[in-house]
Amino acid sequence: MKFGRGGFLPRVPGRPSRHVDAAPLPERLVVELRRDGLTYVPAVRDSERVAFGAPLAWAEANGGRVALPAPAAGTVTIDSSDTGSAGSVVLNVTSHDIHPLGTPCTPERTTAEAMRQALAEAGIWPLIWSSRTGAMPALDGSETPNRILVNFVAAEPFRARGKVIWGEYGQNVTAGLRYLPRLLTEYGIINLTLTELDHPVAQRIRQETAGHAWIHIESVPVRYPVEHPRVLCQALRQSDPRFQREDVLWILDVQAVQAIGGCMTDGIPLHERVIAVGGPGASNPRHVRARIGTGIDRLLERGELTETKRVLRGGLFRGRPVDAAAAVGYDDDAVFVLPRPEGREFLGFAKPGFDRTSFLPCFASQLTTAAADRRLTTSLRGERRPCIACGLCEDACPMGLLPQVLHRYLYRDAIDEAERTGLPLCIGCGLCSYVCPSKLELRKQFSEAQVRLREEREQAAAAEAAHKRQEEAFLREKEHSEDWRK
Amino acid sequence: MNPIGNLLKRFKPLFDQGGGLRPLWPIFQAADNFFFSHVEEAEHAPFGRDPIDIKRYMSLVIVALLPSFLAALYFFGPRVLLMLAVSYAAGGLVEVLFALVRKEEINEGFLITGFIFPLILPPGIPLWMVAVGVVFGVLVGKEVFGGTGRNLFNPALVGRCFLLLGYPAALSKSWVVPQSGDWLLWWRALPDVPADAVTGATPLMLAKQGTHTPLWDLFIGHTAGCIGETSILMTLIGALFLITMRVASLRTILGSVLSFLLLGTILHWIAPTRVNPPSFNLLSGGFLFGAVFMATDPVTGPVTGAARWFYGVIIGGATLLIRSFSGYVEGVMFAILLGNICAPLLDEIVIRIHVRRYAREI
Repeated sequence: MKFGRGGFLPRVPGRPSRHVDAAPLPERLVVELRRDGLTYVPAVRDSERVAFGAPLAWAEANGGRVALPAPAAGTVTIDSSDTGSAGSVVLNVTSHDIHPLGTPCTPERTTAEAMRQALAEAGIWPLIWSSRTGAMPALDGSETPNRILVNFVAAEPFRARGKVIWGEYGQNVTAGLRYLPRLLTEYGIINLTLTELDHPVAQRIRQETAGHAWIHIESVPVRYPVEHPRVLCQALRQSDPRFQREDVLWILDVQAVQAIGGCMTDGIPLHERVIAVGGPGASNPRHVRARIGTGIDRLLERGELTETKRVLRGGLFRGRPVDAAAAVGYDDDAVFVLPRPEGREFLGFAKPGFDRTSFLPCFASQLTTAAADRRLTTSLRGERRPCIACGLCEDACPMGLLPQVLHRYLYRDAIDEAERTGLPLCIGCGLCSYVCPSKLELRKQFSEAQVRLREEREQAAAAEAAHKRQEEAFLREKEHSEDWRK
Repeated sequence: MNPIGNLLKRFKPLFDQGGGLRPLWPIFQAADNFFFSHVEEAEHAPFGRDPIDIKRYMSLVIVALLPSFLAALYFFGPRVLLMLAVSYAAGGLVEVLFALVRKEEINEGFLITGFIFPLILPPGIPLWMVAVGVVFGVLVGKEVFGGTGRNLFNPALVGRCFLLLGYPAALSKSWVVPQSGDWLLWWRALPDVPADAVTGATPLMLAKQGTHTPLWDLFIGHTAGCIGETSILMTLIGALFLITMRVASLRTILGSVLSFLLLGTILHWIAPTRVNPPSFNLLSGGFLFGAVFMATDPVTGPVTGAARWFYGVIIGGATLLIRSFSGYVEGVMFAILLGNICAPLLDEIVIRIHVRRYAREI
């Protein structure tokens, strides 16, 4: 596939190994009631016993209902004490068993509607991204994709890698790939994106999918944020002329396909995730298989969740810091451990820099291929300064935007100009903030402006609706008074 | 902690809130931040950041200027050091005063302005003029616009332009023949240059009279001219450094050099008496130095990448036209200031092209 300029892959130490550990099932699982911006309403009462896979909570979305299935059997405690969040359901585990919920169907005999229903109940539906909604696809069957793209690549340091998932659950992934065509339109195509087509894993995938003419394997560069759905969608549009503008594309990662495979063949709902635990602060970077609701502290080695380190949920660029109480969610696939800065470095800017790597080739680490950014911490690594228009953000932006220009517009509050100059296209990958030598908070500035734009648009729509209503009422009254006069 | 760290620690209470020297806090902070890396945790995603910062960025430019500076020391003697000291002292004073009044931090940008300024002056210029020029440049070229990052014009060039208009005689007659041999003579002559070294003409002036300096002398820098610009070899080393580090915009440099050569070749073919041969033109005067170190100043150039091509073309073309068809023998200073003026317009054109593309995508 064709990718434009931009993107970047920093050399960060602490890459998770291919080894997948299984985290022990704790006695207490915490299921947060907010997922993907949706707030779920509990479907269970306090101290009720639930079976494995029974819905803990529901949310209405896009013409249907999606569930949060219980990751294990147990007794429920509803925790709404935390006023800031939507609350959570605590599950005191009584049984470790995993058992199928429904009677499975072969791919040939499954209908699209039954599959949508099953995936919504199994908590898998929100893992699919639709180019029409920009989030999970509609559940009422109003959209059928012409394309489904299954992405194996995760360039952001460090997300669970497709190849590792394939190694762990190869069978489920192939099963999932057999079911996916049921959701497609007639003659729809499934694209698989991999990094190297001659890699042994890629060859095995090719063997497994041989004979399925609707599966096309493509290679993509390993450059963050290649895994972002909107970047993939744009690349597909540019490289495949058959993919029209009005065509619908669904994108999902390998873990979602694996979950679909498990759900459709064995009737098992989404109950565990493979989490990549990595980063310069991680003492044992690896992949961990964990039941949903497991505390994030249980994925880490003892002593990693301390004051000297910051644990991010997600990767380096988009991860948010979490505290000890946080638990593995339904869409988590990464935990990134960053050390906090220890002290101030003497004349750091004048050192050759074998121990740091940068977007600009201006450190000595450039001379060796094995160098990694060993000094990466949560520090800004420089003073905040005004923009000097060095243009690094423009070079890094994967969407071909001009972040330095947007920054100038937003600095003087010209939000309309920023909108025209592509602000709505920003995907919030965070590369501009990452590379900025002036340490400007560009990502934050842009996302706040996007929220403001959305609010302004909603307000304008509401005002217009109110105005319309007023006008109608006026007209009605006028007619009425004219009637009366007659 | 090393001795400097201890010293800073000892004096910190004086500059802290409530300390006797509180108003001078920016000076202390500048020293503190120069020696020790700034530690501030990121509060928003991404929580890890790239190690590149303005200090590194600016220090790379200084490193790239060093070969030219060393060549200047070699050719024009120890007076160069005096000029540099005066430039830093006078310009630094303005910078510090503004930082104190604004209660802002002292910016690294001045380190480059103060370093470049003496390099674009004739070696025999009186030292007080160096001070006046740099004060004017920093004050009018930068501080009145709001400091580094907000200025429209290259401060060093504004200062030089001021000197050229205010003291045309000094600026066009203070040329010196590069020294060869007797260092002691040059030491003794301080703070002036040896009287017998003063000359009247640079290669470009000589060319107007019909004598062309050999290209090898031009390349090495064994000619009269502004302190830092004469040695093309050293400028090229600096340029190579900046380009490999990707600190200077390759587009600006290529745009200006290629347009300069192309236009030079065409015009030399049309009017060989007025326009010097392109090889001579490229190697003489301050064009390459300006294109590499001054046109690539990101703040005063265009903001967008694509506009930098056209910015370079304007600078290259304007330099050639000014040199060949006006009363001035050197044109690069006016050309870059002209480019600075055009930069926002070029940006606007590039942004409009982008807006058209975004409109299709949104």
